[in-house]
Amino acid sequence: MSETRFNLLEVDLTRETSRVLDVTEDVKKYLGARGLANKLIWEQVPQGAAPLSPDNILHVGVGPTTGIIGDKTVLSFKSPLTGWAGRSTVSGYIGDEIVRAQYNAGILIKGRAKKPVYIYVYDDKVEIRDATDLWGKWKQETEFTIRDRLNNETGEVFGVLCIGPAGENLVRFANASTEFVHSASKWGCGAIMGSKNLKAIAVKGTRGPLYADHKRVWELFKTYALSPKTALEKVTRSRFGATASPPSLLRHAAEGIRNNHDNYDPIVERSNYLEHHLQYFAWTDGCPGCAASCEVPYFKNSERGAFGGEFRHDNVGGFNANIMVGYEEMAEIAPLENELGMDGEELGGIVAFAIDLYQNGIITREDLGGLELSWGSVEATCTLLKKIAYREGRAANALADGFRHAYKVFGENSVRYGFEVHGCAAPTYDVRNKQVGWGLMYGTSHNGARMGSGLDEALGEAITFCNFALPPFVQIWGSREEVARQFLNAVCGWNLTLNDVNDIKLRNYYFNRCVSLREGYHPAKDDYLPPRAFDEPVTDKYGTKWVWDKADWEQEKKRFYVERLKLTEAGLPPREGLKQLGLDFVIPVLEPMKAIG
Amino acid sequence: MQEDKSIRPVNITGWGKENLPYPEGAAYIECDELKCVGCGICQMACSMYHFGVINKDLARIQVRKYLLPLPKAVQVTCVQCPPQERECEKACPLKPAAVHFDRTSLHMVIDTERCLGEKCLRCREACSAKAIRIYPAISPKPFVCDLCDPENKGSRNPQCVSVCPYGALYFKSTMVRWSYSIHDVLRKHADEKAELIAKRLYPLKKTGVANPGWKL
Repeated sequence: MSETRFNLLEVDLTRETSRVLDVTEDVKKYLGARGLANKLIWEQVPQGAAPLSPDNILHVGVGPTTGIIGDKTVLSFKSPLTGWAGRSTVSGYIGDEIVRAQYNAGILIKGRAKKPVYIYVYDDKVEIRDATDLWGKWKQETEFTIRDRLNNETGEVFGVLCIGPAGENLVRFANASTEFVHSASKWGCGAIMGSKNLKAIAVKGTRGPLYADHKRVWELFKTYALSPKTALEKVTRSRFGATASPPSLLRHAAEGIRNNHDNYDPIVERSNYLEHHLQYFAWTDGCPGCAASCEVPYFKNSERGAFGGEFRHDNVGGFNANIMVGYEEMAEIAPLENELGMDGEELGGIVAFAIDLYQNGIITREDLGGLELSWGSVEATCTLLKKIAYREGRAANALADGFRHAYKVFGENSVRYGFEVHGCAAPTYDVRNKQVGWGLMYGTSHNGARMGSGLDEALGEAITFCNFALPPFVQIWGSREEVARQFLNAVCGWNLTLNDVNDIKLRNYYFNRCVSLREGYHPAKDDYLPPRAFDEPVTDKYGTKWVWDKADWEQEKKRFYVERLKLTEAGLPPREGLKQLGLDFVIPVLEPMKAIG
Repeated sequence: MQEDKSIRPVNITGWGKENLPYPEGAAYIECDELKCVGCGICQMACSMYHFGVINKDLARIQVRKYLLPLPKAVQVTCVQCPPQERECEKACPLKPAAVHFDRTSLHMVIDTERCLGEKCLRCREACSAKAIRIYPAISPKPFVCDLCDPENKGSRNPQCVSVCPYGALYFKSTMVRWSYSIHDVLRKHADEKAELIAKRLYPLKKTGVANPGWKL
């Protein structure tokens, strides 16, 4: 059995060229997607490069199990929101298309196009095509138009990842999406595409995936697909999708109520996933290769109009009670978020922050171009979303650059109203809640306050596990690492041991942290929680009060660094660990920055 | 019907669809479009069974993804049309037709030795579902759903049906009550089916997810 070869498609938008590189050796060391991207960013993005300059890269990464264990595409870049290592993950069939086109190490996009373009990939045909007529269009129209044109041209259904007006206008938390409902949202991936004048990427693959041992992959996969454990996962996911988690978190004070100020409030009860399901469920849809489809689009037709979309935790989670609305209102707001193309989680925090500032007189009606902001108003919220996406007016323009920039514009008094870590809104998984909240994870993240900076993701996002698809696999094979080992060996023709898998996991984690350290992140100055986490407690529906004590936080943080993240007590990667894992080349760079443990 | 009804499953285990009995006599795979989630596991099973590789484009059953404007997957495969409706067979320039229904094994067969291959493909043109597939990189000859009886021995065991996690594929007898006459109704191209499903989302257009929009 021969080993799988890994192909990276490199597209240079400045030079208008493309080529295919063999990166098999790198994939052996780091796996694909986020693992490989660490190396690409480290080597190809100059230290301190402006994230929205042509020097930045965008790696549209797939990994060995894209299309088998869920269908994750991981987009990696230097984040315009934090300035550190950034990545966005997206589901949907575009990843499967990239794998089937045999670019199994993904697509690396460099430079900046002179005018709006989209990248067309049809197996070995790669073109940079004019997108002038698509620039300015909202997301759904963009995606539908490209798919329709390419279907007429080739008869094939292309996977299209595109940006909306927010990405074009370089909103620092703009996203890119595919199949309308799947968004690559975190840390500003849409702004990166916008800065490259790249409206969309359209991919169709018919050559078939490159697996070392198809028979073994199928054996493993069929075990999963036919397992009762998978069936159990399916019956929940396919019905409620991701609509079930926000109400639960709201009751446990792990999701914001009125800009994360309030204790439990009856407004929470208006985020009801059963009522939403019974009224508006359209059908279940899913990603290639996933037997537990979790994508549940809704269709709402009411006297206010017709709306279609899908609730994920990430596009409603930061909103809901945080701006004092429920699912009924969100069914009308969420599609607009997606059409404009912004990260809903960031936006939830930003909008609640803006309403709070307005109510407290820190920003004025003039700042908002005549808009009156109030809690619970669909109209006001939607108008603000549009203003942010188009950067209309002083306030919206500042908000479009994220919290750190907004504080500078709105002044010192505004800081108290922001509920953020690392300049990333943290309206959900409230950092004060020590059971289901993510204080420690957010507060120690080298990427910014989002899920995705831990060790599990360092492995999972390199092999491309989908966290929603993964549970039955873990139940069947015992652990994430064992799932990784089984599938990697079958897909790649390797002979990995569990130790090898653990090494890859730690290597990728350290490397990602090192990229951020090189770009200015340092735990000593950046690992914090917002002041409100220490002096503004919240009480959940069941009477538990959540707040951090300063001394506890410092102690818990150290413990988390050492036990969970395998770092030193100062939150830095240990020198010996870096050497053992073959990352010694980072030491000379990080040493002068005092960023090595 | 002159078809041989004595065919029974041979050494088939793990059928997993106990609530739907193994069909007697002529049978076909019916797609339940509204249940389909688009996972494509049926395609993986099909290509694996027939070609020994996982490659969805080598599958006889196809799943296409649409934006209506909500994302929706629609499957399509051969419905083993009855004689009166077999447009592919009628369109074949050879006599007897290279693409034909085998009365012993009870499924469509393409005689690859005689078939004119990619330069002809009139069968594919004639089929409104485009259920006949071709993959020139592997073979110039087309292929069609054989109900997973590639050696034409009468041991039909559709892999796609047995792996579908959503039960969105049925292996059904054509002789069940009125179902015999419905093939020409079911035989629709996925694009055409998607157009019909899109009507459920009226008044949304495919180019936007709100109607009348956010006129604020």
